[in-house]
Amino acid sequence: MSRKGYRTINLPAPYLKRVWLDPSQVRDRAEYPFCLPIFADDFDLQFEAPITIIVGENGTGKSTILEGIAVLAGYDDAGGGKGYRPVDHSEALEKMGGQLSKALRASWLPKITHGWFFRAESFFSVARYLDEAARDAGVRGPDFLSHSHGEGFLRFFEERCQRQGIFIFDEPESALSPSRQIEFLKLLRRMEESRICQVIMATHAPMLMAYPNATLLRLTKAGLEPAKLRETDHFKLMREFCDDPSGFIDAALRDE
Amino acid sequence: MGRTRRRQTTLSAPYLRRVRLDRTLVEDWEAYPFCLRVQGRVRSQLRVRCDHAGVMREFCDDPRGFVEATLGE
Repeated sequence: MSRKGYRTINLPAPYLKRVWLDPSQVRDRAEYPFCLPIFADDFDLQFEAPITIIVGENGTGKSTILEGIAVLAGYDDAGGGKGYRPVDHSEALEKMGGQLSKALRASWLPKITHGWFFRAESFFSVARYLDEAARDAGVRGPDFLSHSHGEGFLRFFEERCQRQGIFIFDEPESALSPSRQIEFLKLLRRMEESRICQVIMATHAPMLMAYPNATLLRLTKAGLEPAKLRETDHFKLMREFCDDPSGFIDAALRDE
Repeated sequence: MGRTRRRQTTLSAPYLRRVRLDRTLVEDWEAYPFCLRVQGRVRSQLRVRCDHAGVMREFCDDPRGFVEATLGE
């Protein structure tokens, strides 16, 4: 912890205790992201464990919720840490996370602004931004891009995700093979054992959903609900596939 | 659309038939990606496939046990 002005707070994670939507701040319910079914009723999400995992089909709003929380935490909705602006938003029509965050309210103990918002889709931009920032400062950059995607991801997680903070991961598995996902599970274990890291993660990877001690939430059109790994569509599909890969694929392609 | 001179060929895929490394153009075998130990097309593909399928099957049989054993290592 050699950075100036950074002190570890002697309270265990989770630091973000609750996030909810303030209806008075929603101008138009028909507009995205407020038209998502998850926001139709009261949206209220409580964090009781250091690690929370959100699963759900594409389009249900997982990433949007993470973006909203990330902006509340002080991160850019494109990814990065506090104060990072890795992506030029000048051409963007709208920023979903930013819009949502204006209508979200949060309860913290204490308010933590360190950590990281990791999005697979912007990792390249963030990594390049880090290299350029280091070059401008006359120091050697972290150079996460001189590796395969998976190795770059893992090295990034190892180097950036073990200090006190709130870490938001949007589909971290996207470049990770099953073996690398095991490495990622080990990192989650180290983060949990440190007691100073809060993780909120959206994933499609059953292996990551299986992390013990995490709160697993399933996002459906009906809202967020606690789930068990074996009940998730992701696990059921993977199980069916593993039982009979050829039969599974044949049947899936016949259904088309 | 408005483009001209785009004709569909009547030949069937695959169109890319072969990719190979020209060893004379590799300046530094220690640098990435040339340092990667790809030992041959067939063997490398088989190894990757077996590795992934094995891990996934083990996991599906007993997710909790698999993860606990993994984290206990």
